Formats: sequence, C-alpha cells, structure tokens
Amino acid sequence: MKFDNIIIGGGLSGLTCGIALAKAGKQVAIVAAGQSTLHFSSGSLGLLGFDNEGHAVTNPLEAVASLPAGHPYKKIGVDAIPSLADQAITLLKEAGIALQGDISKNHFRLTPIGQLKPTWLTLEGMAVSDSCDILPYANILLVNIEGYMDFPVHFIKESIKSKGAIVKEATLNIAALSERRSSPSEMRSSNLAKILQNEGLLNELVTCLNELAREADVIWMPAILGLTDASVFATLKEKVNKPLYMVATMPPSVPGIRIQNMLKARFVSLGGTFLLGHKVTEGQFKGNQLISVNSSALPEEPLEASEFILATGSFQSNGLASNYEKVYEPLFDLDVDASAQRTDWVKEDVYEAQPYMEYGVSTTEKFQVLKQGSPISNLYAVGSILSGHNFVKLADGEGVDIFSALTVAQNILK
Amino acid sequence: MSDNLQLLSISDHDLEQCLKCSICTVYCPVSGVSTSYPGPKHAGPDGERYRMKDPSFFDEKALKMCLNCKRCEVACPQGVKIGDIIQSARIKYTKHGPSLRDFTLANTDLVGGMATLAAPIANFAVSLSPVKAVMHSVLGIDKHRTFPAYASQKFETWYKRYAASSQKKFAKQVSYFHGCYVNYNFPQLGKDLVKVMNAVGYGVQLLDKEKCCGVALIANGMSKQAARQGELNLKSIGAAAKKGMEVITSSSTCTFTMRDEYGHLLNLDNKAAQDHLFLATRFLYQLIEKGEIKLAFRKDYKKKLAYHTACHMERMGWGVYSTGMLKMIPGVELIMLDSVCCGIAGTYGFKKENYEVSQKIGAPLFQQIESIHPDNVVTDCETCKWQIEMSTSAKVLNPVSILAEALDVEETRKMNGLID
Repeated sequence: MKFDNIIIGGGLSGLTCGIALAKAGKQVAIVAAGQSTLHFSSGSLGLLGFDNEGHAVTNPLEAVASLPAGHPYKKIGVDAIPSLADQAITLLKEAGIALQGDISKNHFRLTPIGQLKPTWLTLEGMAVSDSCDILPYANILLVNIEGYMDFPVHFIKESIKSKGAIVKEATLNIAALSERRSSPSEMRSSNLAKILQNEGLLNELVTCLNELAREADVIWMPAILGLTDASVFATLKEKVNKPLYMVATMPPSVPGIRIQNMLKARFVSLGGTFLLGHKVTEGQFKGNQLISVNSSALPEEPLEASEFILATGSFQSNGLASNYEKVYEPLFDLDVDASAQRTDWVKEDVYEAQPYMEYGVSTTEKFQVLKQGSPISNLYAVGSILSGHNFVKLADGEGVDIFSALTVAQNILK
Repeated sequence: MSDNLQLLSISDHDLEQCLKCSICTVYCPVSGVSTSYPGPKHAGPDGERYRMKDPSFFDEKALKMCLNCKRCEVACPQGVKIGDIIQSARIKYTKHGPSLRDFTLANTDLVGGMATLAAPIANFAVSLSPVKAVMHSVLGIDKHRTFPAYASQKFETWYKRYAASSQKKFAKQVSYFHGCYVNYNFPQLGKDLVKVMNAVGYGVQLLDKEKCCGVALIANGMSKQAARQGELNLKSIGAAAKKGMEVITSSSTCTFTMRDEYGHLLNLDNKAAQDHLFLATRFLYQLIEKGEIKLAFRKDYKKKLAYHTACHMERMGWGVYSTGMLKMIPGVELIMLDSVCCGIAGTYGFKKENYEVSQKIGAPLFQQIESIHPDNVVTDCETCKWQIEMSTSAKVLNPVSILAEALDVEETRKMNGLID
C-alpha cells in the first residue's frame, strides 16, 4: 500500500503534521497503536510556561531565546516561532477548535487540582486567569455532580480561597447522571459527557444551575461536556443566567479528547487515512532510507511512502523504552540522546526535574533521525520523542509537538 | 539477566500491560449507555486479577453485557487484549449450558437449514405479531426485531445448479467461505462475489465442507461446539490452500472469528490458515496493487456512499481495503461514518434484555446516517446491515455488491485478457 507520507503515531504532533501535509495535497496515512496522551490533556497548549530556572514566563516569545542550545525550539529556529504559531492557530481554527490566549503574554489555566499554571492557548469555555495570584471573580460557585470522584473539589476550593475569592460549593443530584454510580468505576467524564448529549437532561442541568447560582458571579463546573465539539457546552452556557466555565478533570479528560476528535475529523476530511489499532512492528531500510513499514494488523502488507514521520511520543506512549541496561527507541533502534549510566536517569526526589524527561531520539538540524551514527534521510521525528527538553519543568510540550510537526511538514513540502 | 527478567513479565492477553488509564472506557459502547456494566477495565484486566485468585469473583451477568466489539483493544495504547480477557473469562468460568433462546440464536446453521426449507412459511411466521409476542415473552427474543428473511434457495444450491460448471474454465481459482448469512439469508451477495471474481479471471469454488464460523456460539457460551466447527473449517481451508487456492470471504465477522478468535479464545491452531484467509476486498486490492488484475467501472455509475466500519473490521484493521476498493470507483462519493458500534453485535441486540441498550448504542450512528442521507450505507458485516436497516431509512450493501453493480464486466474481462 503506497502513500506519499506515513506518520507513526496519532497524537497532537502526528495529527498536526498529517493535517499540514494532507492540506498541501499529499496522500497521508497516520498509523497509531492506540489512542494518544491527548486523553490526559487539560485542554491547554503550552509554548513555554517556565524558564530553565523554574520561573513563570510572561512573554513566551521573548523567553525562548534564553533556552539552552539543545532545546527543540533552537533547532526549529527561534525566529521562525511567531510564524509557526500563526500557522498553528490557523490549523486549529480550521479544525473547528476555538481557543483563547495571546502569544505575547501567557495566561493561567487551572489544573484538575486547582493549581494555576502558565500556558499559551486554552479551549474556549475553560476557566482561566490573567494572573497566578488572583482570580478574575470575587464570588465563585464550584459545582460538582454527586458521586463524581475525578473532580477533587476540596483541592480546587482551597486554591480558590488562597487567591482571595469567595467560593461556595454545590453538588448536583441529577438522577440520570448519579445513577452511573451503580457502577462506580464507570462514573467517568466521558460517560457523563455522553449522557449529557441528551437535550432534556441539559435543561435539567440549566434549572439546577440557575437555582444554585443566585449569589455567585460565576459558575465553575467539571469539564464533562463535548467529546466531539463545543456545541453542547455552548447550548448550556447560553441558557444559564450566570457566566459558566469548565475546569479540567482527572483523566480521561473531555477537553483533550475533544481536541483529538476534532483534529482527527479534520485529517480524515482532508482525505487522510487514519489507521487506529495498528502498531508498527518493523521497517525495511535501504541504504539511508526507510522504504516501508509493517503494522501488527497488516503484517504482510508493506506500507510504503516517500517520507516517514516518527511521532510515537515519549516513555508513556512507548516511543521510548528502557531496560536495566539502556534507554532505547524500541521501533527502529534509533540513536538516542540518553545517559548510558542508569544511575544518571533519575533524581531521588520525585519533585526534582527528572533527567530522563529530556531523553529522546537524536536528530539532525532538520529533525531526521540517526541510526548507528548516520542520518535516515526520509525519517523525521516530531513531538515528545525529541530530546532536549523537559515538558513537565518547562510547560512547553504542546509547543514542541506542534512546531516540530509543522517544521517537518514544511521541510517535506519544500 | 536483566533483559530476561523483564521478558518474564509477559502475561495472558497482555493483562499486566494495563496502566489503568481508562481510555478503554471512553470507547466502550456499552459503558456509554448502560449503568450496570462495570466497564472494560473493570470487567477485563482489573477483574481478572481477582478471578485469578478466586473464581467466585466471576460475575457472569456483568461480563455477559460485553458486546465483544473489541473497540477497547483498538483504543488501548498499551496493547492489552481487554475483550479477549473478558471473553476468555466467560468461557473459563461459565459452568451451565445455554438457554433455549441462546441455543436457537447461536445455531445459525441448524436453524437456517431448517428455515430455508420452508422459507416463505418461516419468514411469514416470524413476522406475525402473535409469534413475535411468544418469541419475546417465552424465548426472550425482542419483539421489535425483524428477523432477516430466509432465502427460498440456499446459496450452495444455487451455486451447484447454476455456477459450479462454469467455474472450471478459469485458469485461476479461489475458494469461497460464504458463511451462514450468504447461504441462508442473502445469496445475492455470493452471486455478486462470483460475478466480480469471474470478471477478473478467477473461478470460485466452495470449500470441501464449511460450518458456521461459530461467532454466535462463542458469544452464547457454546465454545466447545464452536471449536468443533472451527476445526472443520480450518481443515477445509487447509485443504483448499493445499490445492493452491486462497480462501476468500465476504463477511468481516466470520473472517475475524476464524483468523483471530479461533486462536485467542478457542485455542485452535489457526496460524497456517491465517495466511490463506482473505476478505474479498483485501484479496482484490492486493491483486490490483501487484498489477495482476484490473477493474473497469461503468461510466454511468454514480452513488453517494457512507462507509460504516464494523467493529470486527476495525479490530482487524482491514477497513482500508474495503474503502480502498470503493475509492477506485470513479462515480462514488465516499463518506466515512464515525467508527462506532451500531449496537447489534451479532445475536446480542436480538435478546430482549439488550434491546434498549443496543438501540442507544447505535443512536449516534443512525443520526449521522440520516443527516448524510446516502444512496447506500456500505459495511462488511451482515449483522450491522440488519441493525442499520432496522433503525434507519438506509439500504445497506456489502462492498462486494457495490463492486458488482459498478463493474463494467465486458471491459473488465477485456482488460484482464479474458476476451479480445
């Protein structure tokens, strides 16, 4: 089976790259072993939240210049980032994803335990603040659904209080939602979102919220609306008398799933082929080129392409792996930037920046990967499999995903 | 030493790979609509840990709610065979035999064989309200369901009378596993397959013997009978392969059962058969890719088609072949429906206790189909066809039937050197 480009991995970086290539007229296949880590995303995209010393960054565009040389942004080129950011926003908008945020000034998103973290873009409808010290509201009604455990109200409440706002807590008892509790392991955001697609129930929710929110300036509720688009939340927001915002929940996370679904739908509508549940098992190399790959589902069907993009993620997504002896890239055994000494991989204090987080595949200036010291000229790496940055420490994960994907797409299209 | 220790952590159906991330729940059709199903993670890898310690943790009622759609396995980032864990537990721990209802629904060969003998009477009878009422209350087959009509002539009978002799003249031959649906309910699909294969220079042979693949037997707790039928099918497939014939099919579920479930769930050795068993669309696609055959399509053929990826097709990862074939037809506008379960899951949706869940599962798909309003919905699974036809205004066809109606037979035969 022949394509122009094959992307291995169907998360944020793979989909971004796939959309850019498909839009330019390429026949593109995305081959994904399973669903991606977007399912754990709180619905925000970070460009650079913290500098290398751990201080919150106000203007990410200015701060990227001071990043160390090995950071992927340095390879992309600091000067290219404003234009890549514009392209990213256009791409997301064309996929129907509405976002808030300004590249010259980070805003603060709420984590599922109520912490404020600097970020670049956040889905419309999610609660945010311009400052990490105060919230834009004096009087907040924090609502949860009875029996829903993935929304730790107590932590969020404490956080709101610490920012000087008044917070009132309320629990909604809507039979159709609460009866989920008869199977406690399935009282999950995605299931609640599926139930709330029912308009009758949504109206019940409206009545409850209007009743409860008389004294509040604003209502915050868990992000359990809209797996495939923003329309359900928009309907609810319109019918509720007070401003309404969502706060990210523990995974599976509806805002992240929505980003995944909308990007995938966009990719498919551009003619892209999305092969889910296909784990790439091996590749056939000829000289310094990758000729074809095989997937677990199509073992006898070589999937051929002119260019391949490796977007398999980091350790969590099995893009990288380790054993007692080494850190390695499990698919093609590509060269990695990682310490050979196992004792170097981790710091004992779990809250310290962990060295392994910066490990990844070695790449050329154009993000071509290397195997036994030589570049594979038509195999590029994008996203969190790249070495040289710690997304937990810098809050730059999505920026690296998107900008590296767009840069590689440009290189291929040149 | 270090490598070996890590390798030793391999577990049945990759149970130990579960990170407890719950992504499977997001894609479980049952979990989305039913309040009593414990969900794929809990019914699968979590529950299995308990069952391994003490079989009394086996909750038959809960695990029976699993459709075996395998969408959890497709979604799982860690490759845990969640559906297999659940179905294996059902096979291992269910001690009693099936009910009369389950026996009837599962024995497609036996019931189909009897019904085709008296097709008009059988079709008439199962369509009557009093009969439906009895089936509903006594047997537990939901009264809302319309049974797929039985054909008055079995595909095998038609084949022997009208097709068998003309197949011999072809230099190249394939064997066809037609399955129960083509044989008893919808012989036209088999006829369409013969038409397409003949046009590209392949004669179609029946297997020495074929029995129902057994998918409904596995789902209804009759895995021993399924294994016996499986052994017979594997023997026939092996015999065809020995004669140099690949075996083609027109049902995604039969194919999936024989290629994957025989090994995973019934412990049959199906390794050799796997290489010789193809959905017809896959077989044709690969021949075209290798440049061995060509297809010509009618210039006046125009249709808007919406493709539904059946669950087992999604799990096999072969949807790309069927859609690839459809995309080759110049007059076809192809729309990909969201890949979600239609809710029928073989015999599951026919059972009274599952009817409501079944329709709720399918609702988003039905809505999408009505909004697109295609000329046909296309899918590789016969039970999806029943469900979609019972629940929407769409007429559903197998991709092979679309190929057959779009094909310019004369031109195709010319291009494949069969006539000058």
